[in-house]
Amino acid sequence: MKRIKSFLYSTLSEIVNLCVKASIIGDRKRPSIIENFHASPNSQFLTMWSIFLSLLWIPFFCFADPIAYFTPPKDWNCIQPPTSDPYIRIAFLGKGQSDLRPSLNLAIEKTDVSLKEYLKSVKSIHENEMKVSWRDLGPFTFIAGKGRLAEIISPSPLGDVIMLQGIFIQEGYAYILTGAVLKEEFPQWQKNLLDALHSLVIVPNLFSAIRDSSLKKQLQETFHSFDRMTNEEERQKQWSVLQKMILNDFSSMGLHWQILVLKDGRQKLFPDESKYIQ
Amino acid sequence: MKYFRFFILSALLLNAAPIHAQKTGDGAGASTRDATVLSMMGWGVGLAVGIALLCGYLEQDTGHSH
Repeated sequence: MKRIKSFLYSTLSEIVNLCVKASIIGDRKRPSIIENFHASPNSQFLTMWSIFLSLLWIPFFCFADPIAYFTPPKDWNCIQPPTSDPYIRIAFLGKGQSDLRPSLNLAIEKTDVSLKEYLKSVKSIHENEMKVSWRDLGPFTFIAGKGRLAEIISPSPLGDVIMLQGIFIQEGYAYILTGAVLKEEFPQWQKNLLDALHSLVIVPNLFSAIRDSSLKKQLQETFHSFDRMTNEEERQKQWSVLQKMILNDFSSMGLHWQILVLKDGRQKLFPDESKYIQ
Repeated sequence: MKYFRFFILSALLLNAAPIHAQKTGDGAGASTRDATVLSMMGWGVGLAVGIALLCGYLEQDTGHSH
């Protein structure tokens, strides 16, 4: 509901804002949109054009991905996911005792079905298409809300792999966290995986997750300052400031959150290289 | 009113177009595949990075040498 409200508010604000601007440009004596329908053809055109432009923003509000993050087990490394699947957002790799290392990844899928329907589909995909065993273990509580936990067992040349898959659906998105370990090592990793799955948080924006208001303000101001950067040297300097700030002051937010903020900051500071950052 | 009708219709058509087709549950399937591949590639993957991320960008705190 919060997302819908925020979307409606943003869209309406945008429409009103653009309409007012168009009215001012088109006919300074007639700031009202209703009045503009009876105004000169020029101002009518500008008003219509502004409404049209505003409506074009709707898909961006509707389909912009929400921000989800979780806390991986301590000392796990964040790595580039091996597949270029668009669903996979991030992956972490642990230090196991064998050749098969424990791993954890987060996938996000846009969906319009209920959790029950989604699980039915997931079971069918795993059993019929992927030919692996998929078992529903029952309800599971994430920080973000109530979802479901499943167990997947898949054979591999290095031995059977056990996966714990947490699935959570909220406001048109399915969040899937899957942790994999070698079957023999499962008892020692079970708690770490469950804790990581439980830590899933969904927030409207990265800043809203920060509880300390002064730190939040400090970070927001740093991000705002990026808009004023004009030269490369200044950007590099600010990038160093951001890194130090995130590493030193926001360590409690967890590695995934830190990476998301740094990624966002990097894209804002160096928009030209955004295409190289996944 | 002609402009109005045209713009509204265009906007509605644009918004009605599907972004992409997908099968429900594909995300979970992808997550399972990724977890399996990742674990099996294991040590070989190391820190072959994309964004490895930005960790790769992270400055080494070398301090001043003078």
